[in-house]
Amino acid sequence: MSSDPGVHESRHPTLKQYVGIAIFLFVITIVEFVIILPQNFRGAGWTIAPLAILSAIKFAAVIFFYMHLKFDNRLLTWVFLGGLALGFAVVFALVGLFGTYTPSPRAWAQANAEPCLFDHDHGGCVDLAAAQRAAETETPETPAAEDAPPAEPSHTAPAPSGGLAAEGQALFTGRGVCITCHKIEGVEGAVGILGPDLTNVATVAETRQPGVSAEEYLVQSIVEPDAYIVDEYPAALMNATVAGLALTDAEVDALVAFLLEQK
Amino acid sequence: MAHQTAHHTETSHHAPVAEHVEEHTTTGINHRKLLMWVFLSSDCLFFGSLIATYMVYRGQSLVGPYPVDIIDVPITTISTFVLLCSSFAMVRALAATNEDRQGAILFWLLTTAFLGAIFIGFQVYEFNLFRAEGLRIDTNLFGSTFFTLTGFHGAHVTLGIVWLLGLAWIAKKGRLGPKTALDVELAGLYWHFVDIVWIVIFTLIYLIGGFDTGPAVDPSLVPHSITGFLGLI
Amino acid sequence: MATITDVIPRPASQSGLWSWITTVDHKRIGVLYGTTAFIFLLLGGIEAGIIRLQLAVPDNTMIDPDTFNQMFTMHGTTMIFLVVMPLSASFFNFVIPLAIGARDVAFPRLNAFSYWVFLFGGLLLNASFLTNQAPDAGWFSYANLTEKPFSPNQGLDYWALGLQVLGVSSLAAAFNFIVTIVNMRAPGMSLMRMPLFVWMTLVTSILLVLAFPVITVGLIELTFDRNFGTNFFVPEGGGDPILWQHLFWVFGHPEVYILILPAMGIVSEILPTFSRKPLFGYPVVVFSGIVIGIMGWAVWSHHMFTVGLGPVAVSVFTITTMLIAVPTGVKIFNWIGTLWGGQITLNTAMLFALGFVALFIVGGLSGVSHAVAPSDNQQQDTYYIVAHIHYVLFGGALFGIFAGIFYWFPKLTGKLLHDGLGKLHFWLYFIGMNITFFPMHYLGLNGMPRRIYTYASEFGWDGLNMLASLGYLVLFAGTLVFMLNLLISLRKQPDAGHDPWDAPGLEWSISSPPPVYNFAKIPEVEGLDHYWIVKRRAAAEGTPITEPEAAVDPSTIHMPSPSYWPLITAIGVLILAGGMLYDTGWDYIRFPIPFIGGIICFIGIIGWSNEPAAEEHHGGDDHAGEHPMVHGDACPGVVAAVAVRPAGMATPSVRMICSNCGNQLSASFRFCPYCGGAVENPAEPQHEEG
Repeated sequence: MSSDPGVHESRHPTLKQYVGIAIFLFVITIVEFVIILPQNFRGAGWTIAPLAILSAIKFAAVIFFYMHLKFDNRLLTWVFLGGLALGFAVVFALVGLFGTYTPSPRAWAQANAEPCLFDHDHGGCVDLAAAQRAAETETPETPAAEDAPPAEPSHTAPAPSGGLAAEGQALFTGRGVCITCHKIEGVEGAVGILGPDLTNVATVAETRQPGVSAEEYLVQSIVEPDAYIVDEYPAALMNATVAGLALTDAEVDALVAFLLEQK
Repeated sequence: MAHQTAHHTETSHHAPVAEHVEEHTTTGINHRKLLMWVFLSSDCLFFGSLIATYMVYRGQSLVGPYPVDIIDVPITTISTFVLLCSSFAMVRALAATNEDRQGAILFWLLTTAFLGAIFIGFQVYEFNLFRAEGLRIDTNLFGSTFFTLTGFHGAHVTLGIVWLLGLAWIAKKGRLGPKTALDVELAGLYWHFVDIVWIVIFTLIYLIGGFDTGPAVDPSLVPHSITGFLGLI
Repeated sequence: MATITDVIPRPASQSGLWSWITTVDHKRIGVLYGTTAFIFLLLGGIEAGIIRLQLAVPDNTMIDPDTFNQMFTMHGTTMIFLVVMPLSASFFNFVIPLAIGARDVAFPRLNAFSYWVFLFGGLLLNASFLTNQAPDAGWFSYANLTEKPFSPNQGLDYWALGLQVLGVSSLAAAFNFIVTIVNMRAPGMSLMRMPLFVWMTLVTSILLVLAFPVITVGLIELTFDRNFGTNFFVPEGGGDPILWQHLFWVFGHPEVYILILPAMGIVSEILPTFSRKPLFGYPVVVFSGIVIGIMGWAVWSHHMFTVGLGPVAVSVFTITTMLIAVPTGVKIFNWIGTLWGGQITLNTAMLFALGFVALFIVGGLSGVSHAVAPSDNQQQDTYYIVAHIHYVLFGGALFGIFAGIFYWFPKLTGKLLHDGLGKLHFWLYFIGMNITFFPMHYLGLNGMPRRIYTYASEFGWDGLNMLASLGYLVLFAGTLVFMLNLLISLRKQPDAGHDPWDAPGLEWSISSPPPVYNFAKIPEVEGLDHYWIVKRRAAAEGTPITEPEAAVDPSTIHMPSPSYWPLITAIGVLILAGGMLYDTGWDYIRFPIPFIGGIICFIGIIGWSNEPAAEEHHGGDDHAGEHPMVHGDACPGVVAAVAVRPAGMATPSVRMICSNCGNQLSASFRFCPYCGGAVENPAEPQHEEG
């Protein structure tokens, strides 16, 4: 910082230099454009570095020549670059915090968490482990928890593949969190309204798409929820849930087996 | 030269801008020029935060249209050229002011404003196109971040155009010259800043982010993860 | 040429109401800032009183939970944005030009603009009470509680827009003080000869300039979420509420230092004066202030340890938070070093300064205990945090500010504040403050969450809560004593003279109250503590200085003239922001009123730039001509650019409705957040297809 007036007596670039810089900026922009011209370069990870460097060069050319920071009092350069550096730091810090934060805790939670289904009658979590055990041992009366309405025995009827269906039900009420959005009469907790009612899904599924069997339809609806959207229900809602679950083929089979019992 | 403190010798009551008397400053930098640079420094944080929001939400939109569906890089490259040209016109306007070529001052100021208006025209066209193709500010995260970031940039450009037209009006009265070159220089600093912000936005949203799709399922593919971001540089 | 300037004649009155409304004199603007902020202090204090009254006994139902939420939200917002910041700004205004030997700030009209915008922002925020929709989501308004489905009334809109307006004010003021301090120092005052308060003002202003844009963006996104259906913080739309926390605290932590650094500067002026020795280790104190300003940017996530940032981020922010305690500790040691061996005068200003040091140590220590993430997990959202924030903001910032009031009051008015009443005030504050806030440490560690509107007796929190509420009464009494002191001192106290404390600063070399031009001749600064150097030398030469600088005819010094335009532009900003509260609900022009505000702003800025900073000077020649106080004022573009931010963009947005309950929704919702029903577009009544 100097109070000598001679120091800030700035030289301006000449017309020739200005024109040169303008051409330079044009050329860089064309190079940037060319980089992303080939179809398979577009959005490719490796393009980030050259594009970032090229735009940084353009940026510097404008601030140092057009805004003549190069010729001006050094203090102004510090003032501006200070704010600029801090701005970049904030961008990088936030991107970094979200980049590292988003996947890991969620993945950890999915891998380790005991699913908690809020029990509206008694408070706290529904005891899913007990429900699952009950499902395994008392296969014939699978979901008939204490207060299941006895008037609907058809929904509890065992299928030949009883073990698989029970496994499916455990998934349906437990880790799969299907009951949050779907309703099946007679299944405890399955009262959701965001997705279609699945009480009679085995019957309905036959008729959804011509030429598609109930089983195929159900598999498709679980693996690719958006392939067919039932009227009046929102699309895209189930994608993220299913993606996060990472169901195995065996688990999908179990779910389908359980759903096919809902006639 | 622009860095001489603007100094009115005549005492016209209708001075277009405030009367300037030769003033001594501790650093030798004119007050208004320092103010302008501090403001631009502050604006870096403003756009930095908007860009941070865009980057954090890159590739996180739950529903389309995604950038790859509607971003049109060639058209925007043309509007980027237009904005770069306007910066060149701006430095010509300042040079003309320093050299006291009255006709050239007016010509280059109006050219700058006109090129800025063409840029805004491109932006209005683009916004309308996106609306027609189903991307609104409330459609998805891409829409929210895109319209907010480019919209506030457009607001800055619009303000710059108004400023330049105001200067052109003063220039038409013949009141711009070497002694009031600071008035032009400050508008120029603002204008170039808006230009460099666009350089960053163009690179991030169009060249790099223009081909983004929806959310990646596999966390290792999340496009904005720090490893993906830094590992490649 | 008929310009607007010709239509409205320039204000000329030197006294009376209009002279205050159109003033551009930094001393008067300082008084306006101080008075307004003090009224807001009383308001915030009453809100605190309602909170303490409600919590005094268990199972209290004096006020309902909604009112309680409004009270703590408005108490926090008021005390931070409408009391501590503007009280600091009032010191910046009054003291800085005097302390650096300038005749005014760099941009006098921009300074007036800052004040009016601050006043209007405060009124806009508090206008929410009139419509019974005060904001109620806490002073940091975490998303997604602030989103429309969860805060359906307009309280949060008042909050967001009010803060935007206050941000315009703070930014404009900070730009002004940076330029003033960097560019308008008297000859000889190098950076390392600047008084500590000037240094801390510079650091604070830089922090403000860099931090406020971040919250501006956060508030814009919040406003867009609430009014235009964007998804920034809406999980249903893919947004992440955590982003709000990050944006808020990226601003919020530098904001903490914005609140405390001016008080540290004030204390660093007062301790040397009343210890009769220079500040111990001046360069180190300056340096640690700068380091605090820089490191303040690297600690924000310690407000978010319980969010689940992951072990790496938590560890990094734990370490940086512990490190920032080091420069703070350095300052405390330097203050103690200043006292060591000094000839200490224990008057009220000194007592408040010492109280600041003592209480700030307590607050600083509890602060370090939050830096430890596992410990913070226990303290998060408990009264322990409430205790901490009040030790640093009440015991810290406010004690520093009161020290400054007692110190500079004689310069401002020419009268000393009564010392006996002052000491009574101090002890009431010191004791009351500890009775009120110390028990909160225990309450917090015993599990009392903050922001609960009442509690059951079984928790065992009754006694300490009652104690805290009684402490409030002591603080209330202390405030009354201070107001009494103001009234009595202005009428009864004898003239203080120009230099009652034998102080080192430039401001004490001129008469009290200072003449409108401040310095008849701009002093040549000879060193740090310039006036001490001058006085000691004069005494050694046998001609001690007993008189202030001789007065001159004010008309010989060219000063900036009063102006209407800052006020008019500020009214435009108010309408621009406040107009956003009225939503016509039409498809395209949903927010018409901001355009009116924009036009008023535009007219104001045109008038402003057409008006010379000072009227033509017809007096004698400018005999102090090496530093005339006339030059161009703020670039109108900067005012416009700062002002345009809260305006936002009145983007048309598609309205959807819920097929089940009929609520209006934004298109981002794929199911109704109120009832879970399907969303449909009233224009095309089929279901939404992905």
